[in-house]
Amino acid sequence: MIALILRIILVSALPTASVLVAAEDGKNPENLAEVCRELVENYGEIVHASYRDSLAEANRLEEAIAAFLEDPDEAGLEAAKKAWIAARQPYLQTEAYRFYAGPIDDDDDGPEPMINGWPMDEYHVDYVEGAPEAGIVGDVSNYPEIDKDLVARLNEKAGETAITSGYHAIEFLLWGQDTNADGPGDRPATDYTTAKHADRRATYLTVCADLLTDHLAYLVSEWVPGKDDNFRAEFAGRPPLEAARSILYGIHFLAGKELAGERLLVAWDTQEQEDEHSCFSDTTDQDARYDAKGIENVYRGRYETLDGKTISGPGARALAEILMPGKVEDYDAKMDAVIESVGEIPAPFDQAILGDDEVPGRRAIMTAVEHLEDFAFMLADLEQELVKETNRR
Amino acid sequence: MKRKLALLLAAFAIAAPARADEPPELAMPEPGEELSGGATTVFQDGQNAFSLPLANIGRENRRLHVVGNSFFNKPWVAAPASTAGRDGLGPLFHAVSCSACHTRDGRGAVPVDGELMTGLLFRLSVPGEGVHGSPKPHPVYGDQLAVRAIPGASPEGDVEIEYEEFAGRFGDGSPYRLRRPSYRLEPGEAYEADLDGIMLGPRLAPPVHGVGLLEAVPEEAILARADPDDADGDGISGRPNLVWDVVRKKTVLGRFGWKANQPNVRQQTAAAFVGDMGITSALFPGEAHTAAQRAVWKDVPESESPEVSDDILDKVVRYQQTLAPPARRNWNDPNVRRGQLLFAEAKCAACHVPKLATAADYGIAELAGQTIRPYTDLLLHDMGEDLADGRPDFQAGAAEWRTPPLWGLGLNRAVNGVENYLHDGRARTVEEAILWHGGEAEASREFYRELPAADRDALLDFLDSL
Repeated sequence: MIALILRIILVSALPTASVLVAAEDGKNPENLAEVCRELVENYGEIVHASYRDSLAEANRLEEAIAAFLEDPDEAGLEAAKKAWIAARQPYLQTEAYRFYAGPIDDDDDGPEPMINGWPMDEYHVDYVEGAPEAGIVGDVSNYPEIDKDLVARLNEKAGETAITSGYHAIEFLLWGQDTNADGPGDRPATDYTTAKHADRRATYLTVCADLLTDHLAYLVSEWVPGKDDNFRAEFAGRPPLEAARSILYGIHFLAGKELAGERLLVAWDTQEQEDEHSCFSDTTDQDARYDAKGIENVYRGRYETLDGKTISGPGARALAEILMPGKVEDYDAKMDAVIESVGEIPAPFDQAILGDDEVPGRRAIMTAVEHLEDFAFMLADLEQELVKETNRR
Repeated sequence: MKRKLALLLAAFAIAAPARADEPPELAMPEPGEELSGGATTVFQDGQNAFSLPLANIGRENRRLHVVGNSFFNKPWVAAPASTAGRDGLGPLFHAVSCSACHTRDGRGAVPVDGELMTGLLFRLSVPGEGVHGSPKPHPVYGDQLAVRAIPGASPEGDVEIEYEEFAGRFGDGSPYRLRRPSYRLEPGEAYEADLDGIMLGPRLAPPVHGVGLLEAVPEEAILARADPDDADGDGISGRPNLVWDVVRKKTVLGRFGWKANQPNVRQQTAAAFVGDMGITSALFPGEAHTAAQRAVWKDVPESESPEVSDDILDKVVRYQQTLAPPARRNWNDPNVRRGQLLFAEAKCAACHVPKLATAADYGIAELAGQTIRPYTDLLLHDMGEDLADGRPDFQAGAAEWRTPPLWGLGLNRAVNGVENYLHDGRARTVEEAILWHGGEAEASREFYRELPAADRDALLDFLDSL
């Protein structure tokens, strides 16, 4: 019983101690909850706008694919590839909203594996070198009809890398395997005219583009403001410090484990094209840049829409201003270093990873990895401060 | 729409003041009670609950973790292939990747509706003793049934699994049902072999998280709990398995595997590479097939050994060593705390030892000096005839099993979507697993069986909070 009494005394003593500490180091946690509320609201605006932009570009991609398939030629294929590259730019920025079981990667029905599943064993979809009949496209007897239901159902069915849908499936169907040192894959337009299974391949591509816009439309609907039964409403209703922690965790995880780790370091370590994110189109450098931009959007609370509007308000940075006021400059400087160093990653990525550790490409990648890791550790520190504040209340 | 909150925000929450009518021991969860892995503990309760690196991981180990993770997840392919870093699969294999069985670093599942098994495998042996006291492999089929093979080689066969359901009753008269598996080996046609007397050992892929911490528990601390002759007369013995360490070339304490037949994570991993995927390493340079099998294959090239380099093997090992145990949920709930007392009262905690400490000077700094709550003693216990698989392994008798850790128990369904417990996955719920406990654990099982329903629920709620 004495221990119990001691504990109660300790509990009641804590807030006093923390206020004293707060006064000493210049923290100003009184308005933390209010700032968190504003952060959550501004974040919701940014998330909604960027998914809407992603959907708009995916619609353009779907149209470009339809135009190409109407009368397939090299010019139409080029136009579709350009549309794919453009469609990636807003979507990659939305990866900053992953990793806290929001609509994108909720355990039950998050569409992330269907949208950006990777790495992809392409032979589950279509032919590869040495296997001319490979994949669902070539497997007429098991899959006589290719439709949305089939492609969705088979995604990851044969394992985590058996990706059948999403951006990378479309990428593979537009570019083909990348067997060139100095350029991306070069699938000929005749794959959609005279080649074996051309019609099935065209159907598959159409289905993938259609699924992609379905999934992005779903995400827009989960983040659209003013509804009372979507995720946006539920998220806004959470305790503000808790929601703010999810926002922080998302960019912390993207910067550290995902971008610095899975996307950059693994390929740096293995020097294998198989570990490259967008390996068919050789656009992995763009992937990294727009992922980093997504992190910056959330950090600064700022997003520029495709039609030129700017959304601006408190970002994760506002939490640093309150919880670590003496270090905001460090956070800003590291954010800048992330953007700058990621911007220095050369293309094509599959060539940049080769060689010894002193070649410029590998040094550039490692520098970006280090800044991303640093920033992830700093975001983790900020999260811990937020948790301490949460428990004080 | 149902949404799960993936992040528990109670990381450093302070115990709520106790209600006046609670007995004092219930009112006092230990400080850190929720921290299953001490400072390594992660707060994650969704699908990725077993997949996160140690909370305190440093930069160097984080990098090794990330690269190891990619080799743990990605499928290996038959050599020669364009992916030079990931070829060497087979000729015989059970699965193409570690994660095929340890899905999301969690546990395997038993096959359903005639599907080919993946998360479950079968060890094979014949009576007698192999080298260094290991089980004696079958002269043609070797020591594990391979249900898959690369082109040119042939799978060894399959096992038909049948379950017989039967009913039992709790002390209060309410009914329960259990299922007892039976196995029939269906050999493939490729190999001529005498299968009389062959022993089948079903093994479900266990979850991987926390193995680094278990490895960091000092050997003396484990051996100190051993009571092989039940000298203290509590009906519970506890024996260490003594197994062959292929690197140190001597007999040492076994820690990993259902019968503690592997001394460390590295050897366990190398054994799984060669046994489950047909990938040779410096530790196990020879393929897992026998000469009799090699003789019947056509056009299967001889492989170059090792197929997995020390560098990659070490990264896959470090990946697993740095997978964190998840924090407990609801550890402060009065009902859960009541269940915790019942767990102790039933003497479950005699083998499922709640608290251990890792070595203060352990070589991996993040794992050193941690107070952990794995709920295991890492020792072998006689679990009775009902669970015996008839296949001894080093010192472990047919009915002896290593106490499996319970941390993360309540998250199995979230991670893997299904629940299969015990070495062969026969138990479909935690309660079924309890009801299968026999041998040294019989008294504990009977204690549970005789509890009133509310107390049984409290005990299950406690297990669900782990």
